[in-house]
Amino acid sequence: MNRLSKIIGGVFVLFGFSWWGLAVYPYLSFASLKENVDPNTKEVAPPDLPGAAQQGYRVYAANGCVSCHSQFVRDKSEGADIDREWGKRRTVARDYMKDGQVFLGVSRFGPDLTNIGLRQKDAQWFYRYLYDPRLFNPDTTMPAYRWLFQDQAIAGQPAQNALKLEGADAPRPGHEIVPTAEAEALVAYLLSLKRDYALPEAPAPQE
Amino acid sequence: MSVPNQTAGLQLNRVAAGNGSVLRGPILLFFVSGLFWLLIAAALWLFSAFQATDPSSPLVFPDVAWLTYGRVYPVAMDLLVYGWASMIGIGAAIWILDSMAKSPFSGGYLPLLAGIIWNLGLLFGVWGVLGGGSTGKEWLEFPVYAAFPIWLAEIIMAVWAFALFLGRRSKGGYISQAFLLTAFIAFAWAYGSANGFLLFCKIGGMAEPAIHWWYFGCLISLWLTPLGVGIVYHFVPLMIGRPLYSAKLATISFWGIVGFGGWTGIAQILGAPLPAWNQTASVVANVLLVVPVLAFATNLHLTMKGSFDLIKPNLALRFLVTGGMVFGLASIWNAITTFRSVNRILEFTWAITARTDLFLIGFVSLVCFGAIYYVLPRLVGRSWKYTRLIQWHFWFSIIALGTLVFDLTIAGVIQGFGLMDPKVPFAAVIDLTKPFLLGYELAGIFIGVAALLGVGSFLTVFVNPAWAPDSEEAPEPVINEEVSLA
Amino acid sequence: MSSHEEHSETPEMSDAVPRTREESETAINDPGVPLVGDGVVPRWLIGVIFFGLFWSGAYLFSYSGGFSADVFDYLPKFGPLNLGPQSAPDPKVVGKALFSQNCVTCHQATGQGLPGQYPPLAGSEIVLGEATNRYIAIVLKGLQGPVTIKGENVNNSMQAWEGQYTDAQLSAILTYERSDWGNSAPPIPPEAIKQVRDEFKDRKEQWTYAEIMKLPGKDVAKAGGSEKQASNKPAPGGSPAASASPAAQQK
Repeated sequence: MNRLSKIIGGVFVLFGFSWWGLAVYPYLSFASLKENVDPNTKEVAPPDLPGAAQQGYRVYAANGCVSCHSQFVRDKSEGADIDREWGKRRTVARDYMKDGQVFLGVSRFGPDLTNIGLRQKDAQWFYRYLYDPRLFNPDTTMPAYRWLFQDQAIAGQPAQNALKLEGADAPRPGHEIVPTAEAEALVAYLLSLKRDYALPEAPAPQE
Repeated sequence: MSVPNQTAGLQLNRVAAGNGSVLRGPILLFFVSGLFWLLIAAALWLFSAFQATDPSSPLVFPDVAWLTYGRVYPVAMDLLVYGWASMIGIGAAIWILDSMAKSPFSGGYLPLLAGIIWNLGLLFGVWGVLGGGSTGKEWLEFPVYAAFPIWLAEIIMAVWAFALFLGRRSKGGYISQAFLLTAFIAFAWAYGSANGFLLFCKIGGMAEPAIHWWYFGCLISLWLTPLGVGIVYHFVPLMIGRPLYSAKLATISFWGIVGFGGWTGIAQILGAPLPAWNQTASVVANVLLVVPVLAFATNLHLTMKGSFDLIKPNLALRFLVTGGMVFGLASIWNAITTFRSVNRILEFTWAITARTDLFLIGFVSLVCFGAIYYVLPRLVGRSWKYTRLIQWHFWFSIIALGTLVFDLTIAGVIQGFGLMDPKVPFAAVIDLTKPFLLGYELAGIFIGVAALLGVGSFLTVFVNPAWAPDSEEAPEPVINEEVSLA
Repeated sequence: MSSHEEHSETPEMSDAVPRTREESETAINDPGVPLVGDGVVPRWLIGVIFFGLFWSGAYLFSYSGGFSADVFDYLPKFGPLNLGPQSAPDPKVVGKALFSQNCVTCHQATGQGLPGQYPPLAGSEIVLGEATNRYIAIVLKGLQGPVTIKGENVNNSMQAWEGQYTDAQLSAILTYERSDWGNSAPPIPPEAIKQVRDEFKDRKEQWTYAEIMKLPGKDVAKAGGSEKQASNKPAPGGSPAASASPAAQQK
């Protein structure tokens, strides 16, 4: 019995140690992070997420985008992330302080999305890519997300955000393909992914 | 007719959980559920392997939300972990803990209740993730309404295990008890606090991935690992009829795994903006974890020494020993790929997926099947005659494992070096890996076949001749014709 | 059943010394409980353990960034980290941020202005010219009426910015404007802004372009060159070559 309590006690201590070190300690140390206010421009970094993006990250989570796409840029000494122009600088803890969920990801079967909102600024591009990734990149293995869109009869004016599709993807005559609310939220989230502000702890590496 | 051999002289039945015990039902429930979830997981994995590699495959359904890769693959992985490996592990743990305790208390309704709740949790989880409720955290995809039942069931199992242990009549103990009880504590703590922090308190910012990957490490190293190691430590000496080689090695493996296991997870996301010492500590833990695993593998090897010819005829033993040896290799490979210099190349690639698969398919799954093949005939009181099917099952498992891990590792190395060179466009990197990913599809088929063979051979036990507990022969699947009588 | 209790010791759960292999092998006829031998730990494993502990200690203390919560890089950094207010911000970065708050509305993110209304900044002889006092004066006091830049006429009004921005901020904006959209001209230091601000501190109204061009051109940005007459003064409607020459003079 004495032996048992030693074992159980040992397990609790050793396990609790890792729990403290890797779960509680990061929580406590990141809880005190404050946003960076530039003394010259009074710009707040990172900026607040737009409202639509707040919904969009749930769509991103629900559909397992993180299975293939990462969202962090490693230091220049750690890989070619910066040379691939996935970001001008490494991402630091403050970049994520306002994110409800951080999609770091452990796979890059698709490109990193940390700054996708800087590389592509047009919602229409995202809609078309989600609808048929092969339109842009014939070799991509990304699945098409057609169910994020709906086919509807054109009533009067064509919808403003209707997808511009041609060829095999073109909608039936008199119909149009429009994004659903989920797609709109997702694209708003993707467009908000830009870490182009400066943080003092993460200077962009000099060439 | 079975020929008497070294194992046949053993009377392995005098355990409370045997035929007629109140615990027979719960163990069967966990086994049947585990195999059921394995079939679902293998089918979904096969699906996702095709979807991941070939967008024009007929298994891709762009118009059906719940059949897209981002939902199917997580469900397959979650079912492998929480459905297959965990449930079989718990089933075997019930058997082991009960046979060790010899307690008049059996509390048979508790494991039964836990099994039912656990299955409900998995059902909710599959429903939730496929239906678009995934949390988007690897291996924690199940939404709260699915995670909570699983956690509750595990708490029930932990309470049962400790009640049984405290009421034991046997004076001594065995290393497998220490591993299994530790697993129950660790999973309750890790799964509870990860889901509590992340899903209930909804912690955001960088603390979220820290907690998430800490949990991932705990799940691998302090839940699946102790279950598997406990099972191997328990059944191998019983089957070969010899004591475990060394108590000291067992002690080293126990404290090593408990001490380093919780720190291993963060190494999955090296380079992320977490405190440098957290990342370095995790690298160190992954490397030092090799020591207890080597102690375990050495112990297994020296226990088996002189009895290695038994793994040919005794198929249950073959699964367990192979699983244990693969674990040793997997752990060394894990340490090598964790070093910063290697990790910065292989991070984010298929090679990391392969590393996890090697553990999950190579170690945990083989050990789970070994446990089934040992426990099940005793549980239902029938000796296992259809060894041919199990031989096929074994070799298909090995081929599936080899194809999967070899292909994905090669693909990962190519992908890794490609990604390190900014002059190679991203699309070209993906193109380079494509030929090897055809092997991934093949591996998906092999895994499906192996799962079917496993389930098929599980079913054959019910049509086998009855086995009496006082029989001179061991009931586990033993190939007769090749065994010499000498 | 009772015989179980006699031979199922492990060092894990019991304080008793483990039984020898011989003893346990004779007791094997009741195998519901596995037995444990007292085999020795192989020497090589002891070696691995000590090497592992030594290595991990050294590794942990070398690459842990002083165990502080805000160091993310495991590689030891020599010298003080380039953090906080002691590092001067890049004026081009600050300038771009400020530019996109106000200036961008008229002059556009492309620096091309709006035809007929707001003059372009890209390639502008005022922006790039050596007579930086005119450039600064315009921004400080504002401008009113017709303007001719790069041979094109525009006509609108710009407000005075002297009340809105400090010398440092204006210096950042102007330095940025001289560095983007293909522009390339030396930076404008805050002292130059201060000098022009002091020179016209009593003037309240906006300039006209004619008034500006009558000011004697001076390169206030160049240290010590404040009193020297700027030689390469771009004339209204001057050729683009005029705007390129200051860039050529860059050191």
